[in-house]
Amino acid sequence: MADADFPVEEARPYAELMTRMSQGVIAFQRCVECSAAIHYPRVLCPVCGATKLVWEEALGDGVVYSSTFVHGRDGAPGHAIVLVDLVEGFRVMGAWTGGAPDPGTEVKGAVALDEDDPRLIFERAELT
Amino acid sequence: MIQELRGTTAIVGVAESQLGQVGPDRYALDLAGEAAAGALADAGISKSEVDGLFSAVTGRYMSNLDVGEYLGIRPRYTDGTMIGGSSFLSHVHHAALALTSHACDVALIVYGSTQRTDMRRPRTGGPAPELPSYEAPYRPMHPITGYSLAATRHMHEFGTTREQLAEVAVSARQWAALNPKAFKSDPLTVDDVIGARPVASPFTTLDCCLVTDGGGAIVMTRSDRARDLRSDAAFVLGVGEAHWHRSISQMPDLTTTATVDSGRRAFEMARLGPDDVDVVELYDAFTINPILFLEDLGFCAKGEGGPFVSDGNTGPGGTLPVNTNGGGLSYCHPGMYGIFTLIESVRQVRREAGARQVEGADVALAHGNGGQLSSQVTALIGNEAAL
Repeated sequence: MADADFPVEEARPYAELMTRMSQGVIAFQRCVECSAAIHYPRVLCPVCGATKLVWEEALGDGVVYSSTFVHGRDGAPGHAIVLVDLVEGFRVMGAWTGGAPDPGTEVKGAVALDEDDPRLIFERAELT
Repeated sequence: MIQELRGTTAIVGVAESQLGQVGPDRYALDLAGEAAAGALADAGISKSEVDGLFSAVTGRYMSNLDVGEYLGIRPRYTDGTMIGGSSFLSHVHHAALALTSHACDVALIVYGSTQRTDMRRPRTGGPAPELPSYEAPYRPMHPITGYSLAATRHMHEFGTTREQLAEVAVSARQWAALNPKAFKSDPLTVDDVIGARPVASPFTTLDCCLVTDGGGAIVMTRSDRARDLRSDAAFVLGVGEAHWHRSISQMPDLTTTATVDSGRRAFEMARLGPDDVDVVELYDAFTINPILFLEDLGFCAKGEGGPFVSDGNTGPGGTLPVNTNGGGLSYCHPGMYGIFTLIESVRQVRREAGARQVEGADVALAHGNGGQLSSQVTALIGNEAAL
């Protein structure tokens, strides 16, 4: 393996996110140059292009931006999908138990490790 | 600089392949070839004259190589831009630039898909997953959930109703009844749409585009040649491209698409505005799409797309005819519908659309969408009177 001409500080963002999520952390990156919250993680800031990024931990507090309920076929159960704006300033897709919540619903998210890949599950909660 | 493209190139040939469900013995490249032959015949141009090739054929990773080989075309300018269903409108932009710079003299834009028939073939394994995916753990139903999430948000912000979404499908079906090539033309009501099998809230099956087979092709030349070929050439007045995201969780605002950029660029190049447009062909993959695009193109204010479509403006006899062929919802949708917005636009400004002809159609707007509201490309097509 040859080195890149311009080596970035975070060369394996997906693997690093999976490692952090598998420890129960809702991880995201913060750009040191422009302070943008970055999710999904990248090797450079999609706002300003800087490669100086630091990992931070989100609380999981947020507001439902949108939602949809995917109906099952032939009697199979359906499931809801949510897009949540987290208070740290980025949006994520997440899982939700039950019918799709209305946009504007205040929620709290946590990492679930019950399937092959770690995932975010949100539930109704009052933002403090 | 940008306005130099206005009217410098023209579409001189269009054709559809066989559409609908073509049967197990036909494949995507067959339909692409059939459409290409038809468009060249329509233009009165020999295949040997094609020196610019543009294509996006479903399931073909190197589409231009396949199409060039299949058709026996050796292009000196080749462009396989693949940005989903809007690719062919992007090709029109790129072809206009290539033609005006004399990088090619005859441009052929080609599409083919046997998406419907492929579902009935023995499975050979799906395409390799695109890794990594940050959405896969949530089991989205691509592409439907991207659009249903946008519809939910539009309803929340602007009070758009379930009935207004259904009106989009009803309007498309009314037009489809006037198009003998339409896949579905039986009468449809708002109650039918709302009462159909739910897929992803707020959508039912009838909020979703058809799954059909089909191909289409377009031939373009510079305008001087176009006038020698035919008296009813369809000139490219303006075209604009934009894309801001790929996956729906990265779309900044689910109620405003990159169409605000593509539309503005096309209108500026054409030196036209929404009031100048006689007929509109929008990529209606789902019922929310025309609502978003009518707003983002400036035909109504942001948030008023729902009332606009439910007031009967867009159907036959309405003030702004939209999707006069019946659209992806009722006419044909092989997966990347964009080329059909162009073909119908050309037929309208040539005044050869038969029972669905819009009276006095001089300027048509074709708008393509790709991915999950991801790529947006707008083209303004006009006849000689529109120049």
